[in-house]
Amino acid sequence: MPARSQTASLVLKGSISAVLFALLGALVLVPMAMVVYAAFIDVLPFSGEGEAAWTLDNFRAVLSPEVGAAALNTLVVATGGTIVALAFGCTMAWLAARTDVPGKSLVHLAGVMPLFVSLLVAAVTWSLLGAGHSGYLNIIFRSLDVPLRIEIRSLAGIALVEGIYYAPYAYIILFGALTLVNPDLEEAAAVHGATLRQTLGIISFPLVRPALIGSALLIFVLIAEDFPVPQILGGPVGIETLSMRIYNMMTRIPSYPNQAGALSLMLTIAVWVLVYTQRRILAGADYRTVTGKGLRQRAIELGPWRWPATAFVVLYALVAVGLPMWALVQGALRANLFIPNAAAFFDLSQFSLRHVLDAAASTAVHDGFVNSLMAAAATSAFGCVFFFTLVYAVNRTDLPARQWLEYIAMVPLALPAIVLALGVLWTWVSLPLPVYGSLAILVIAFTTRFIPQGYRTISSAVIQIHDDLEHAALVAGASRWQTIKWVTLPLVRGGVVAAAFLLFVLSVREVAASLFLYTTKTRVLSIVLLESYESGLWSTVASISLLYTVMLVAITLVGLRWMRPAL
Amino acid sequence: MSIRITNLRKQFGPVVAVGGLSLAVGDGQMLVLLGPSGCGKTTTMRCIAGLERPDAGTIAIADKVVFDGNGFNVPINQRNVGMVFQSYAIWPHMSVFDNVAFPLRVKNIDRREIEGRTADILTLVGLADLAQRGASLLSGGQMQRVALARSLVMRPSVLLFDEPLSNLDARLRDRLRIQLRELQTQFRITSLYVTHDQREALALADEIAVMHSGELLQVADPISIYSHPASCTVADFLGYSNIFRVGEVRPAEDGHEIVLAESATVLLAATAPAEAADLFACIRPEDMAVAPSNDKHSANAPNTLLGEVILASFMGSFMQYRVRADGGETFEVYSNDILGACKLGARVRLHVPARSVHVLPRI
Repeated sequence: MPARSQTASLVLKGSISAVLFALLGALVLVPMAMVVYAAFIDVLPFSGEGEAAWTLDNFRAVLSPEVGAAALNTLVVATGGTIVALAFGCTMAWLAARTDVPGKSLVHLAGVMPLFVSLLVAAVTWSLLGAGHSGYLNIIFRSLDVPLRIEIRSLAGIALVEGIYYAPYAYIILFGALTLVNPDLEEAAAVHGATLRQTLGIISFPLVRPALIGSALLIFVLIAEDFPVPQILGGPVGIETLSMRIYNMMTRIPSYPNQAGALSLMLTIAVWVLVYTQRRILAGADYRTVTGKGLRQRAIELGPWRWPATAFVVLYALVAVGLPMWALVQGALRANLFIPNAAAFFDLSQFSLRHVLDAAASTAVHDGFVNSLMAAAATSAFGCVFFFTLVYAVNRTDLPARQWLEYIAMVPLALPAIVLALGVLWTWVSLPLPVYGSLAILVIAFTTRFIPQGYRTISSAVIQIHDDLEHAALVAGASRWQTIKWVTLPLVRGGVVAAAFLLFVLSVREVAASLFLYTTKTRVLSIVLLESYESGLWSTVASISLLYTVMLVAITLVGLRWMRPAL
Repeated sequence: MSIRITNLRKQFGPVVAVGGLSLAVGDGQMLVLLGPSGCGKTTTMRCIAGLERPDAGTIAIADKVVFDGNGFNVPINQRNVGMVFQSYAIWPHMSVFDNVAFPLRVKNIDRREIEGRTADILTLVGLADLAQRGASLLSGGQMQRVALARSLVMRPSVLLFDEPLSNLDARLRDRLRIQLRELQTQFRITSLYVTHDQREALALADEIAVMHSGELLQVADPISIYSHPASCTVADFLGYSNIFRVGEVRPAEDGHEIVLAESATVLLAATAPAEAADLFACIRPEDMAVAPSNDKHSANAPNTLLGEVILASFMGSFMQYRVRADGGETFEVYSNDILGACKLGARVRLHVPARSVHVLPRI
C-alpha cells in the first residue's frame, strides 16, 4: 500500500506554503516596504541616483502648513461624507428591511444602485450639475427665479458627493444586520411588556450598533483615502486632500517622491489605526442570528408616513442616479457648451451626437477601452485562481502558518490606493523585468488592491460548505485533486463566479491604483477620462463618461445574477 | 481482528482528546463507542478514518497497519474505510446515483460494473426509485440511507458511523436503527459506531466501549455491561439514575450493609463492594418497587423506605415517579403498574432487592 512518508509530505507542504507566501508578499508586503524605505532615504529607492542615505528630513518637510490644510480638508470631507452616507444609507436600510414602505424591491434597488456608478463619473456629472454659474442646477434655479445657488466645488460639495455614493455601503451592512436580527428577540421584548419605542431602543438598536459603528468607520476610511472625487471637484478651486497632496508631490515639477513616501506612510498609519479600531469593535459583537429558517420580519406600519418615506426614496434615487445621468446625457449630447436658460435643456436643435461619436472614434478612448477590459479580465482571471488557492490553503489544509496568509490578504484594506500605486511603482521600476510600462503592472496593482474583496467573496462560499462533504469524498477513496475537482469547486462555483465579476467591475472602475503606473500605451479608460478633464475638454469628458457608464451598466447587468454585494 | 488500536494519543493544544487508548473490534462485529460529548469518541473514529493524525499509537485495519506513530501514515483515500457522517455529507450538486457511485468512479472501475453495483446497493437500502433525484431534495431519512449506500458500495474493510441517527426525529430513528442492525448482522461488516445515546448503543452493539475524558472505562457486551457496570460513571451513563455516595460499609449476615453518606439511611447490598476509597450505591429506576404506604410494619423490613411522591409522570408503557424518602434522598422509580398508579403527594413505600444495589467505585 503506497503511503507517503512524513518527510516527503512536510517538504511538499513547506514548498506550497512558501510559494503562496512569496506571491502574497511580492504583491502586498514588498510595495509597502518600498514606501517605508523611500520615506527614510534621500533619493529614489533603487534608482541608481547615487548612494541612499538615511534621513528624517522627509518627515520634517511634510509637516508643512499645506499638508496641515490638506489633513484638515481630509478630516472635514471624511466626517461630512460619513454623516451624509449614514443618513441616507441607514434610513433606506431601515425602510427596506423593517417597514411597509411601498415598492420594497425598488427601495432595495435604489439602495444599492449608486454602488455601480463610477466615483470618477459621479464627480464629473456633479461638476456639470453644480459648478458655479454654468452648473445645470444653478441655470435652472436662475431661470425659475429661485434665490438658491449651489457650489459643488467646495468642501461641503465634495462631502455631499462622497456621502451619496458611499451610502450603499451603509445600506448593505445595515440591511444585512436588520434582516438577520431574529424577530423573536423583538417579539419577546414586546410580549414582556415593552412599547415599540422601548423595543427599538433597548433591543433593536443595540443589536445593530456594531454594524452601525463598523460601517461608519469603513466609510470614513474609504472617503479619507479617496482620490477622484476631491481631484475633480477640489482640484480646480485649490482644495487639496492628503491623497491629492501625495499625487501632486509626485506629478508636479519639481517632484518630491521621498516626501510623498513619508506622507503616504503617515496616511497609511492613520488608516491602519481606524481599520484596526473597526475590527476590534466588531470582534465578537456580531449578534446576528442566522438560522436555516427564513426569518419573517414584522413590518412596522408607517401609516401616514408612507408617503414622505416614498418621497425620500425617490429623492435619493433622483439625486444619486437620476440627475447625474440626465446631466451626463446633456453634457455629452449638446452641440455647444453655452446654456443660456433652463428652456435650452429641452431645445432639441441644440443636441448632436458629434461629441459622442468623436470620442468613440478617438484612438485614445478606443485604446483606453481595450486596456481597461484587458487589465480587468486579467485581474479577474488571475485573482480568482490565486484567491481560491489562498482560501483553500487557509481553510482546508494544515499548511504551516496558514492563518498568516489571511492576515496578509486583509492588509490592502488599510492601504490607500494611491499609496499602493506608489509602492508598486517603486517595486517594479527598479527590477530588470519588463513589467513597468506594460499592462501587467496595472494588473498587479489591481489584484493587490482587491485581494480583500475577492478573498472574502470566495471564502464566504468555501466556509459555507461543511467540510464533511470533502471528507466524505476523501474517505470514499478520492484523492485531494479529485475532491477539489468534483466536490469543492462545483459547490463554490457561485462564489468564484461572483468574485470574478466583482474583480472585473472594480478593476474597470479603479482610478487611484492606476496613477503613476500607466504609460501612453497603457492608459485605461478612467485615466483617459481624468486626463481629458485636466485639459478641460468638457464635451469629451461627458462623452467618455457616458460611454464608460454604459459599459459599467452593461457589465453589471450581465453579472448581477452572480454578483452579491461583497464589501 | 479487523480494527486494532494500540496506545492511541491525540491532543488538541493542551486538551487531551484521546489519552493512550487501546481497542480491538473483531471480524464482523459491531462495536459501539459510548460516551458524553467531548469524551474523545469522535476523535478516535476520525483517527481511524485518517481525518485526524494521531500524536502516537498504532492503528491497523484488516490486519494492515495504517498508522504507526513513526511517520508511516496511509492517506485517507487509500484506507478503504466506509463512513456515515453525522451530517450525512451528501453532495448536494449530484444525484442520488452519482453520490452512491462516487467511490467506484474515483477508482476508475468499469462503467457497467459501477452501474450494476450502485443499482444493487440502492435496491438494498430501498432507494432504487430515487436514483436520479437531486440529492438536495431528499428527506433526512433518505439522506441517511444514501450515506449508508455510499459507504457500502465500496465494500469497505470497516464501516464507521458517526452518530448517524442523531439528526432524525424519534420515530424515524427507531426504524432506521432496526434497519441498520439488520443490514449489519446480514453482511457482517466490521463496524465502529459512535453515539452518546445509551439506548442506541444497547440496541445496536455486539460490544460496547464506554469512554470518558479520552479513556476507556469498560468494554463488554450490552447485557453484561448493563447488568454489571464497572464503575459509577459507567452506571450513570447507562441510566442508573439513583446514585448516592456511600459513607460506611458493614459486613452483614446476607451481604453488606451500606450507610449512605448524606442521610445515614442503611441499604443492604448482595454483592461485595470493590476496595476503593470513594464508593457509590447505584440503583436502576426500574429495579425499585413503589406501593401505597398503608402497612406501617413493613417500614422496618430491609431495603424498604417510606416517602412521598413529589413527581408522577405517565410515560405510556410505565409510570415515572420521583419520591422523596423520609431520610432525605430523592429516588427515581419506574413502575409498570399503571392501573395502581400513585398520586402526587401520596405516602408510599419503596423497596429495592439487595441484588439490585450496586456498590461501585467512582471510575
